[in-house]
Amino acid sequence: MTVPMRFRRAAVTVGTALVASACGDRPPVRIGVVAIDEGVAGARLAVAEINTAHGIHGRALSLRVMPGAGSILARIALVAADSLSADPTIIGVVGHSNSSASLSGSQIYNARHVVQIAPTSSAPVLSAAGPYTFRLVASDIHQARFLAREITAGGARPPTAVFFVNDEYGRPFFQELRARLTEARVPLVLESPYSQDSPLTEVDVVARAVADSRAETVVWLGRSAQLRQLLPALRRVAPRIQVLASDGVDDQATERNADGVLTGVRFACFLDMQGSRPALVALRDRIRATTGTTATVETALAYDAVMLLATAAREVGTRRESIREYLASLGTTRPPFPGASADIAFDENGDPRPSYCLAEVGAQGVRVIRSSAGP
Amino acid sequence: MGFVLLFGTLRREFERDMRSSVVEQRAADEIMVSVYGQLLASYQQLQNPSDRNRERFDSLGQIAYTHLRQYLFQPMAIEPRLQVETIKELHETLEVDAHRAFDLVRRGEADAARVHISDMESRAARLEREMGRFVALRERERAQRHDDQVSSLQRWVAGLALLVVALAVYALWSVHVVKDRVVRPLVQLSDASVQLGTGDLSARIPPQRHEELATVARSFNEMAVRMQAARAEVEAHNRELGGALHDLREAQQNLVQQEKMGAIGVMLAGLAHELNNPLAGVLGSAEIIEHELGAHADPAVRLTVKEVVQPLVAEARRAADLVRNLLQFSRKANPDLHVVNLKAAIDVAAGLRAFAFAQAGKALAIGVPDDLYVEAEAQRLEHVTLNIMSNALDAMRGGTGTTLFVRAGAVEPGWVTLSFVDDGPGFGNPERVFDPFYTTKAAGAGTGLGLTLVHRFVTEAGGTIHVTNAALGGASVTIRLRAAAAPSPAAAVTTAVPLRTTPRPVPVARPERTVLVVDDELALRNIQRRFLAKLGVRVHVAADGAEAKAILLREHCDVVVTDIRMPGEMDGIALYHWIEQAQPDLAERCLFVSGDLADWDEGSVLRTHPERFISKPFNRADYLARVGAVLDRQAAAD
Repeated sequence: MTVPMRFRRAAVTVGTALVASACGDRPPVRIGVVAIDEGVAGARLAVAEINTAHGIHGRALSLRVMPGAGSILARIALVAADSLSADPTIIGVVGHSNSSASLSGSQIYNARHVVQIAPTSSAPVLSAAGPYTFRLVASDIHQARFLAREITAGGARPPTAVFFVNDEYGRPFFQELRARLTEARVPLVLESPYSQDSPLTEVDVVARAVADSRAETVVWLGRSAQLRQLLPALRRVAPRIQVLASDGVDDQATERNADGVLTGVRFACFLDMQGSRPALVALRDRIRATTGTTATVETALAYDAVMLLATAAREVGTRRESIREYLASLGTTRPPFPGASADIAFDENGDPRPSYCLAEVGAQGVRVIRSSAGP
Repeated sequence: MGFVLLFGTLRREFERDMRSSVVEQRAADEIMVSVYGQLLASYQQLQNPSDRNRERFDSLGQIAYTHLRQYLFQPMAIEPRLQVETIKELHETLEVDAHRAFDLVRRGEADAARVHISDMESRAARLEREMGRFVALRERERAQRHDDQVSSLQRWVAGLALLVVALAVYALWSVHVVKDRVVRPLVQLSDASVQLGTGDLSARIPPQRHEELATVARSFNEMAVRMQAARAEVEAHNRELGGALHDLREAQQNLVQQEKMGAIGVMLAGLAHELNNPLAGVLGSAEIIEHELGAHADPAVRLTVKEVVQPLVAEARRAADLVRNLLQFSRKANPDLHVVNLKAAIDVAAGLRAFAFAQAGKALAIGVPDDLYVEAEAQRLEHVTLNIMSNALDAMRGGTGTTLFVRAGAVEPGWVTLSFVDDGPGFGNPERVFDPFYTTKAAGAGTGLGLTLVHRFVTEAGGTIHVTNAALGGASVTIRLRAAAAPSPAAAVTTAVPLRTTPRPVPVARPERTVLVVDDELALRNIQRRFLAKLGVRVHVAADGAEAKAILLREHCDVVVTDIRMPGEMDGIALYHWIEQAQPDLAERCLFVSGDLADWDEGSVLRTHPERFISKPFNRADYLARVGAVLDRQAAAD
């Protein structure tokens, strides 16, 4: 029996209202969320489930979602971080949407002792952000090595052109990849940075430059939007060129691939959303059931981040320092947290164990073709 | 301490800000140098494309990126942090432009590449402005922080000043409280303890407010009261003991003196007794010769009497005086104390010596109240007074000294003090004046026993005597005698009886009277018979008591003159007692002759009737006066 979506939403709302009424005048426990819509959906699902299960010791859990904070711009992230960390009811923040934004906000969170869980931020420098910053994906140092292995699989040394977003995400990613490719004697025929906040212009010129460089493989370290701009022109001048992308392209647009532009593009991803992990399966189902959309990596990791903070609050209370200590103890003095995405544990830098998979965009969508537990 | 720590913290923050400012300024400079270096490399690539330009571009870009990333981990406010993001984005875009330009250059599209480089140039200029703005923001932030620190420091200083003032006030208050409640009571306690320790038992601690101190003060005061009472008791005991000790010492001194005197007296008594009999014979014989040959017709006889017999009489009398004094001295201490009016006793002595003082041109000033009474033997007191006056007169006769002052008064309870002070030469050796036979008089002028007897009479009366020399010259003799209450008017007071009675005219003897002379010494019997021949009486003589008893049994006698100490079973006293029994009427007409005053036993007739005693050696006139007086009394009775 299929339950209409509006009824399900109503049920979640009623559950939250019931917990809130049971709490009387006790203030709710709040978690800040700075994420794109897929992440917010996962966070909301987690909150609904927590409140259905009597909240945080009877206190309702709620989210404070920063409007428009899904922006990848670091400046906007700073404003959001400043606002959230100044809110005393916030026990932790799930965010931000990319590495530059997470890194910018991390200094504010650490200065004000607010736990930050960055679901998908993978910039290497984030490992040094501070003791209050945790993330659910490994550093791009590992992803760069993962991609380098894919390029050189079977002893291949294809001339390679690299496009990278010239920010905290792409720049160190590229530097690590270049080092690995150079090490593997892979000719790096083109290095082309681009700006994250501006569309590609002169795509034909760029595509011609790739063709002129005789690159057989293009590595794309960035978001999918600019790649979709470039690929048609690139396909025209170099139809057989292989495109290998970083996790940046793993979004709903890629998942849908509605225009088919990205077909054939392979990319690294943190999580096989079609995986058989029961918690992940259940998450996919609930997301679909509650939102009618497909769960993404952002969804799963945001969900796990909220569940992680709520569990910490249940275990050790809502004091920010206690929550930080709880997270830091996972995998050491406490067992890893059984998230929907994986069993979550952190090293001394707040980083998880690296885990990647390789997906390929097809006409019908994305398909994971290989998984790897590590680099 | 807290202020020092705060100041240290603020100083470290300030220094860190200064270092940070320098580092950031240097980083800003490095970024801008790198950016313009990248711009230059781009231009060079446009002019002369080469991989070196790109490599240099990337290298400079990495430098700029590294410096910009440093800002990420600097604590800073939101505004400069946003400014950093702006700079980063500008730099990222600038590098993207550069790479587009490089691609265009590589493809030979220099004009298109120049457009990008031109954009780079404008971005670099904007980046420089934004960097300047960032630096200004950071400076403003530091200035604001510095101002905040200064304000904080000022608040702390003000707070500290207030705290110091408050602490000072509290300290002063505490000192006052401690001083008032602790120190002052302790000082009072200490002072009182010191007072108490130095013997001032009147020390007391004022009442205290604090309970514990009040308890201490009460305990201390109670202790002081008890100590004061105990001390008063001890002092009273001490006074008693002191008095007793004084009395004991005096008694000891007197005892020593008496023992000394006693030893001498025993010897002297025997010696005097043995001397008196021959001396009485010598004196009596000499007086008879003087009397019978003094008016001889032959001038040669009279001259012999004058040159030989009269000096013999005089020397014999002096010897008699000496022996008498010796006997007095050796007499046992057995005073018969009565209440004696001191003024009367002194007047007796003064009456005896007034003429001598006047004859010597000296004054006798007597200031003795009439109402002073002492415990004494009247005759001895007169003797004492007379002796001291005589000594003073003898001393002043040498030339110095004009007056003897005699004063008396009840200076201390229970005692009367009698003092003799002259302005003469004083005592030659005051410590020895009471020693027997010590005299400073010319040879033959004194016996050396006068003051010895004085000392004895005074001490036997329970008094004391001290002699000193006055500081300005002159002798001082101070006598303390026990005071006595004034007798009631009905009570008889022993009045002075002159020691020496003035020789009265010899009365006319009645021929029918008979005198019995009893003496074991033949010479003395003969002398007395010759004396009595002057009275015209019949004289019987007996050599002892038994013979006298026999005479009395067969003959009527009107007067009996008997020696006291005689050999045989019946001495003079025994004879007297027989007479009292056998012939009571005759008993009151018995006279006694003795050379030993020690024979005056307690209760004997000599004590009750001292006028019946004729001491050996006797002089003729005195002897006849005594016997004549008895005969006169009998005649009057008849």
